[in-house]
Amino acid sequence: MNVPLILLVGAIVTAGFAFLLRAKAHHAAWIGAGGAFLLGVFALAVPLEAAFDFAVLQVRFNNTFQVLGRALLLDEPARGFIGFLFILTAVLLTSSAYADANRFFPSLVLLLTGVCSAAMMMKPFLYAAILMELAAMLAVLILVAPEYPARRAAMRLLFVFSLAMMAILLAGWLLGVVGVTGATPEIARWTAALLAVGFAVLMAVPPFHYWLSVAADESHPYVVVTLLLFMQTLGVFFLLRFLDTYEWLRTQPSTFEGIRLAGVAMVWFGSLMMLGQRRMTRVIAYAMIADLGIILMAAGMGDASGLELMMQLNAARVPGIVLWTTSLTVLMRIVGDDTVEQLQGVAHSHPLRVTFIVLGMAAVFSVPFAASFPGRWMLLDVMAGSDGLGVLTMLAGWMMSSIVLVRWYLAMRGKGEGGDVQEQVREGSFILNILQLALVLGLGLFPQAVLPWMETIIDGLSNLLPS
Amino acid sequence: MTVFLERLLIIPVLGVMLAGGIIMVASRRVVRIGALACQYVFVTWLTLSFLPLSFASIRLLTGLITAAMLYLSSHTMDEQQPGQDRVESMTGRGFRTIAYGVVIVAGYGVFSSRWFVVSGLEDMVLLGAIFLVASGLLQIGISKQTFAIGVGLITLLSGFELLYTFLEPSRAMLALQAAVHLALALVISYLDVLIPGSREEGKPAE
Repeated sequence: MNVPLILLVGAIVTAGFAFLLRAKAHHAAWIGAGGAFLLGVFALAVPLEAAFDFAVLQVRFNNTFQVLGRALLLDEPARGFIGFLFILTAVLLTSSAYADANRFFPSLVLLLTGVCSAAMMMKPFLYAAILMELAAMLAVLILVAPEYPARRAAMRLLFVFSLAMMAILLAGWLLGVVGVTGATPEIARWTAALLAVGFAVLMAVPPFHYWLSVAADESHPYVVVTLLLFMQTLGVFFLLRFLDTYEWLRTQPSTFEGIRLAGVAMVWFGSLMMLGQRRMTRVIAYAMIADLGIILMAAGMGDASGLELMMQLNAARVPGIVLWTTSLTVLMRIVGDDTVEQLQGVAHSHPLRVTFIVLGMAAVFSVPFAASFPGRWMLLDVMAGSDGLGVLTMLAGWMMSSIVLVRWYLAMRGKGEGGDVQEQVREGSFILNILQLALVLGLGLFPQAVLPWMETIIDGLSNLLPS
Repeated sequence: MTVFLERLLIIPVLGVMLAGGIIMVASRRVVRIGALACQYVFVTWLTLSFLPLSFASIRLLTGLITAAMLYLSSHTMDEQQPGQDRVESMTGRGFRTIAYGVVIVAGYGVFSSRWFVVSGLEDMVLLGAIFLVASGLLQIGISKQTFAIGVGLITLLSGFELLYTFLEPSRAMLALQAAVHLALALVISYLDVLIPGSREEGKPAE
């Protein structure tokens, strides 16, 4: 049996079921989430290239699927990343029905996961760039819906992804045909620059985030956050994959220094931009940029502990972001919009919703006991003796995000129109928010129970993490 | 036949230049789509200088299907709202003509400075690719309507792929590039036909 084929067909079939059930949003979301979760567990647990007896049959799971003379190979690093991606999809789909994302959302997100998985398995890797362009087109279909005509954001997204595709294809050609080694510094510099553009687009590193602010204004918040989370996760995985594969890249001191500085710039940019926003969706988007900056700062340390912290932080951010966005979209359905004026005073009529929003914000901003706090604290501890700029950046980021948290909390507590709107309780979303909160606190209070498992996902990167 | 076509590579380069100009200046969608189809023909002609006809024809076929998809979506829109087969632009026709002229001269400047050279590639193919990339970037830069930006994106990708197919002339790459063009046409059609308000975008405020 062919594992890459099973994963791709599994994603397509589950997407098909979710599409058929699109009129029943909750059914579609749960079917999609269940399918994605099973595929994720399958990707992580399946014994590759080993034969075993199953009833009267002898079963062997192959890790390679040939298509048009090229191979989709599920090797150890790809297995961890793809498993994580499917489980991330499951988490995102679970909340999608309560967030009232459009009815094609579960099926399209599953297809997107399938295409991204194929990109991660693609050999030679440069073909993955074209699959990412196709993924961007799927992302456009997710981003734009008749009730959310975010055409400007869609075209900007397509444009930046086309640039990324071209940059990565050229870099792949330089790597594969021209050949880049430590002895060819000029070509190595060009290749690194092209790769940097490609990764910057994937991870929405400023200025390549310029589709994001428009998307936050024009599209559904949950959709925007899902796409951003997806792309940033994919960008992190591709970055790790490249660093693991190419020795010349990981042995250049400027590589990790560049990653660290990009992270620092993202934290400052995201945090400063958050301060001045009047729409909460934009605050989430910039908070995610700043958060990814911290993750890149961890990667920029360039050693095994930094990369393990990077993986921890990458996983720990998910529950907080989902809690914040889900509770915001539920509240938006009641009050109509996410501007500071519209949310003024809503805490009086919707205290629980506002509590969830504030706790979600606090989780993303890494207050103590939140999921991402242990990882950030460890990072701060590691940087304390050696990286003054990193420490200053993290502290400044914390301070600015605290100001944002207090500002929005006071706005929602103040007097305004939002206070007059009647509460419409939806038990499902309430229970979901409680579960998300439990996950945020669980990961924050007992990080040793789950987060070390996250580190095993990158165990397959044998060059980057020599045992 | 193929050898004969290779000797006349200046013709597709001029064709690409002219088609780009028509796409830039024409205000009717159907004219732009026609020019786009012609542009695909010329790009295929240029591709013939380094790829066999069987491979190059994939590009032509894909291009014609892409143009047909765009035409069908425009036709559907026209049936829904008759008499609106016009691409609204932020700028006047004169400005666009001058801007296109400047970009073509700049493209020729880049080509003649030999700043970017690919060994083994015919000069005319390189010139055609530079014109396509420059024209695509200009279209994306000065357009506001989904259709116009989409056609600009297709032009930009055509230019890049013309170069890249020379560097990586594999079946799989051609197939994936074809899939990108078809998917792009599908996305543009979706945004144009199914998303309300497409007609209004790009129009100057009243």
